[in-house]
Amino acid sequence: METLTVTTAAVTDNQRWVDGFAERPDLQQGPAQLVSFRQNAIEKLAQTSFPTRRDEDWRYSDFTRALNEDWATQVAQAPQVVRNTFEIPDFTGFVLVTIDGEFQPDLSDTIPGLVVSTTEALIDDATHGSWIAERLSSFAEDDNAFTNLNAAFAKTSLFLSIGKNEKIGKPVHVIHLATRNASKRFINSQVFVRIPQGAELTIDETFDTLAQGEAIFRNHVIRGSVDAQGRLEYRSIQNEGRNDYHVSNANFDQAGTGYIDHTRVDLGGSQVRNNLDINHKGAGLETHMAGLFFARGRQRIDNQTFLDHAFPHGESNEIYKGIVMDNAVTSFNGKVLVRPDAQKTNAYQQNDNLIIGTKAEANAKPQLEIFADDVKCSHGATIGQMDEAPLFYLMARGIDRGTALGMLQRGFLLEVLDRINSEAVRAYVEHMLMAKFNEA
Amino acid sequence: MLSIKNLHSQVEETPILKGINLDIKPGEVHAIMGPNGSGKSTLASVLAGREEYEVTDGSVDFLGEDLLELDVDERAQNGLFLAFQYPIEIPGVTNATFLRSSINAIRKANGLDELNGAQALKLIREKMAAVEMDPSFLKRSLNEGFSGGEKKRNEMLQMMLLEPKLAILDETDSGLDIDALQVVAKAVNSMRDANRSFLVVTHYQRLLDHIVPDFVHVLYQGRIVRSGDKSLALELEKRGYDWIKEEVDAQTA
Repeated sequence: METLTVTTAAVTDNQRWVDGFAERPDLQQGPAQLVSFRQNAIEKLAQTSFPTRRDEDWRYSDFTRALNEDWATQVAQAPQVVRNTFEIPDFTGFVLVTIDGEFQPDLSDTIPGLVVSTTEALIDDATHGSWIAERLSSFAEDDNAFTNLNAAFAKTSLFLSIGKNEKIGKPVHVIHLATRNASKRFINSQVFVRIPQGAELTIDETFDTLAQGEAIFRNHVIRGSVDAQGRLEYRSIQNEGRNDYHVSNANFDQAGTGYIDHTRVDLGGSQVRNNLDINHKGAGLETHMAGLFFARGRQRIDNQTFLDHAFPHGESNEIYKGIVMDNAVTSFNGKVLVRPDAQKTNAYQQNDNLIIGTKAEANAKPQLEIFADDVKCSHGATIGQMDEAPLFYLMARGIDRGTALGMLQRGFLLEVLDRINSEAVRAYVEHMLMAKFNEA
Repeated sequence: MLSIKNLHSQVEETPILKGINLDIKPGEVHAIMGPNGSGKSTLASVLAGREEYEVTDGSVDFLGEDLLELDVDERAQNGLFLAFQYPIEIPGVTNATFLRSSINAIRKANGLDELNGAQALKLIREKMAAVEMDPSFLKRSLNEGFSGGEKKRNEMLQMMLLEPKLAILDETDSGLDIDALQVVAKAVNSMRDANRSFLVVTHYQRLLDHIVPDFVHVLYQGRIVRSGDKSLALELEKRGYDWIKEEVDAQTA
């Protein structure tokens, strides 16, 4: 059963962000182009409302109350960071670190063959400047207030690229840290990923917090492009604190014959909203999108994906699986558009939800809009309860109730866990999952 | 070993067991037979602790403890094993993980060291050979896509690994071909000893050709209406259940 509370005229006071922007002289400094993008973005934000439940695509995610709290945007004094605390055990790859959205070269590995830089350093660069400018201008002009906000406040953002037809052979772990302190802090972080023709890169992104203190609101943006025959494997794993907020906007342009494999994991956060947009720019490409979420307590986790098949012979495969228990609420809204020109498209989408208890709520909204006639498309969504029969069977073999539940929950999510092509990352996710299953 | 006194049980307000009395001593094999709907499987389920069956009267003592007070997992840890009539398919949990978790749950509860992966695997493979199961079944999801016979072999494998003190076989013979039936019988017979007991619930006498019981009880309308030795099973095979039904119905009329 679903209840919809319509709040009357929920208004977010955007003036506070405009004022906050004015109090940040550091945002007015740096390369002129960047400053002007930030300026445009804050002007856009002044005229753009944050979405509320009245917006169809945000029915299950209303951040109004959260946004109206007192958030500091100033860069905090980061404490001494012991990097290995945040590393993935047994991970054999490179590590990069951002703190409060800013890239930290001192804490990061040097990666042979990879361009690791920042928007500030490259905005006027001959090779990458125009690519960055294109992205920045596109999302400053977006109608999504969260991306406007991000574009106005983000600084020293991480930029990753690699040479044409090159690969570095090892995955890159990007650790995004947020510093807690005595005031609630709002973090606007950005990552840019550029995969040129024939190049390959694997990125594992994790989010964590430093020190003790008040809540964090992370407003994250990742923008990327994958050119012909390029391959991007991109995992994003979120296990932030249970009082924290997380909004993520991921947007990728995928050229013909390109390959993207994305997996998103959400375990933490008080309220989480992910937007994932993949725009097909050519024929014969392949896109995989997987998601795993587990919400309990009063968590709200909302995934919205949009896949735009605009060219023929495209293949997409989307699977999102989630468990919701206690008083938690989850939702999945997956849009797949198959445009008239996208003949011979194979598009598959599945969303399965497991509800435990009587108060949890899962919402599923698969949306396939197909305008081409020679395509193979399928979608399915299920919302089910935990069966007593398997639980009884396991317990009848001496396994205690908690362990049995954990085994069944893990079993339910296995299809997505199996999609994680890295033993270390998978073990890391499973470890966090088990810890969450075992919470009283 | 097991002492059932005046056991009454109902499911959704419908009484099914109406006063069962049964004593099983260490080393004994008891068979429970009876027509469909007599309460055979209910008895097995109540003993294993299935929640849908409400016990309204009576008591069950298992090795000196009040069985009905124990949770499902504790009953198993104390040495009770139910071979399911319809083993449950559990996608996403491999047979190997399940077997190892189960072995270790029971070892741990009994103060034994848990087996590591290699030790557990060695033991499991050894017992798999005994029930003629291919090791490839270890990697598969528990019972998922197994044939009827494969599921029952898997039940017997679990019984051999968990070494219960009392094993209840709930119509383990139903739907089995003769080869699978032999495997079940072989598993049970290999485990018979002076300290282990069996309660074999079956509709047909066929299984009892291979697992020779010490006692045979006939369950009808929720009560044990007749007990005897293995010859009772043979008589039932020849004459069916109707003569017993008639006798009981005449007495209660």
